[in-house]
Amino acid sequence: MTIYHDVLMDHYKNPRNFGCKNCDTNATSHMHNPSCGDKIFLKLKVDGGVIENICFEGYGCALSTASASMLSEHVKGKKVSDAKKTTIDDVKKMLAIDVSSVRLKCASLPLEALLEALNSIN
Amino acid sequence: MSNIKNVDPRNDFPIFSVKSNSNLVYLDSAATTFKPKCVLDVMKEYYEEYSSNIHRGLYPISVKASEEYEQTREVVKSFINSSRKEEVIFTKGATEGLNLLASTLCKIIPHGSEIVVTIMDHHANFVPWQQVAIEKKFKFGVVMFDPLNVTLEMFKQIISNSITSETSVFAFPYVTNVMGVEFPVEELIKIAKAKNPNVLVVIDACQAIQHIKIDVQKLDCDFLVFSGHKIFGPTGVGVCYGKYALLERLSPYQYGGDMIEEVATHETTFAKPPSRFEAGTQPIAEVIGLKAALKYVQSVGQQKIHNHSAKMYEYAIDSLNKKLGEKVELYTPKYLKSSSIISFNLRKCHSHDVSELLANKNICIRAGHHCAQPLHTHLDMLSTCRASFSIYNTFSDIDLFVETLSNIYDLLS
Repeated sequence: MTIYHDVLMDHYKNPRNFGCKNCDTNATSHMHNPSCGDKIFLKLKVDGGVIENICFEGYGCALSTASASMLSEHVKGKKVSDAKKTTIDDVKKMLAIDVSSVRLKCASLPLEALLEALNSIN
Repeated sequence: MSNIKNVDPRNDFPIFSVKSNSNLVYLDSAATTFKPKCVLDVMKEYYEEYSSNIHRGLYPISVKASEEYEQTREVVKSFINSSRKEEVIFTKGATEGLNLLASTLCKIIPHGSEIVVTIMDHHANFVPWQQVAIEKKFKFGVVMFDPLNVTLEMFKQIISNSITSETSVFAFPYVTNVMGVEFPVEELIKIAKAKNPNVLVVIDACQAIQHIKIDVQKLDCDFLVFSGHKIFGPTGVGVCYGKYALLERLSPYQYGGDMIEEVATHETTFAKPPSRFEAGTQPIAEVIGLKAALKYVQSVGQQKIHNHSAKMYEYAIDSLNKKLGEKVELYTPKYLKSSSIISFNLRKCHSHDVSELLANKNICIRAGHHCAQPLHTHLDMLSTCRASFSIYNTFSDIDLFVETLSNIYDLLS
């Protein structure tokens, strides 16, 4: 059960920054992967070019949920300009697994949502 | 336990003798079946001993290739009991067969008439009709029902209500690809034609062809398609059957060599069916391989394949219920017949995680929407796991599958 290591499973079962109820936000995005039904709603609170808060909701597999959780921790407090430089390779490093081609979309959906929300700011 | 003809059928399939596959548990035969050695042998023989193009050479190896190719048509004819071999068109698969039908039938059905499909159809028997309806301004009807809870009588009534004097095409599966639901095809065709004798019935037989004896004359279907690779044959070849009088009315699907009668600088006349629909060099090795696959199925016996798959199906459902209980959600129809495919989810577990964790043990199932998004949306399912069975599956395959699922549930929940 190779890719389902403890850290990844912890982020899956206890996702950080999960839940957007009553969050003060000013940028949002919604991504959907029709091939597996994954959905992510991501919200940001940006102030003075800095990501002050990030939260997400949705439905996804362990990879997709852990990816969103780790990504949210990674960019919280970062400058928007720096957060925009996040790549799929960064996500793979955070997940610390070899993401197979068939699961790449699972890992990348939260990143796509993040970049869309960031790009909607200006 | 899994023996057929008192010989282990796994011996017929070289894939099981590959060292890295020694622990392979293959529960994805609805996606594609393995190929027996006899199929691989005839394809290799064609390439090594008489590789040549068909219908065009007068030299011995081309004559042999043409004969072998055309013999497949005879074998298909008797396999589905069509009245003549010219009713058998070779395609690259069921999807091409259905596209051929959608794009040619739309030229002969009445303007503004209605094309009807069902909510259980595979995208291949759904999207071509939907798109032709949009493009050519036909009405598009989708028969909606709850396959898990509908009774056979209610189902037949729903079908009857869906066919009207406006319906020109009714396309539906013989066996559905997500839940393995076996439609009462002969009855449904009678119901449809009683409502409207002009309705053209198109059957997608992909999930039936392996284990259900099909008799197109008895069914009285107008068209029927299947893919070779769903019946132990090669990929890249399929069959589109059509009643000859109807095929004669259809215009070509593609233009090119071998499908013409006479070409002049500014006009062309076309060959009669089936050549009219077989433009260009055909997948010759694959057609020859299909013949070997059909003969293999005849030698094993379709009823035996059906009984074995049904036995695996029942054993799997029983084991899943006993070992996993409330942890598993089975999408099995209460009243409609099902015998070779199970869709399920582990509660609160994503199908991709379940599938990948099974794969770590070399247990192969499918996860996702199985090319049936409208059905998943209709039943409010985001994605499902699907296990399907064939002659090479054993009780120990199912035991390992269920035991691993139990461990996966513990890990993910």
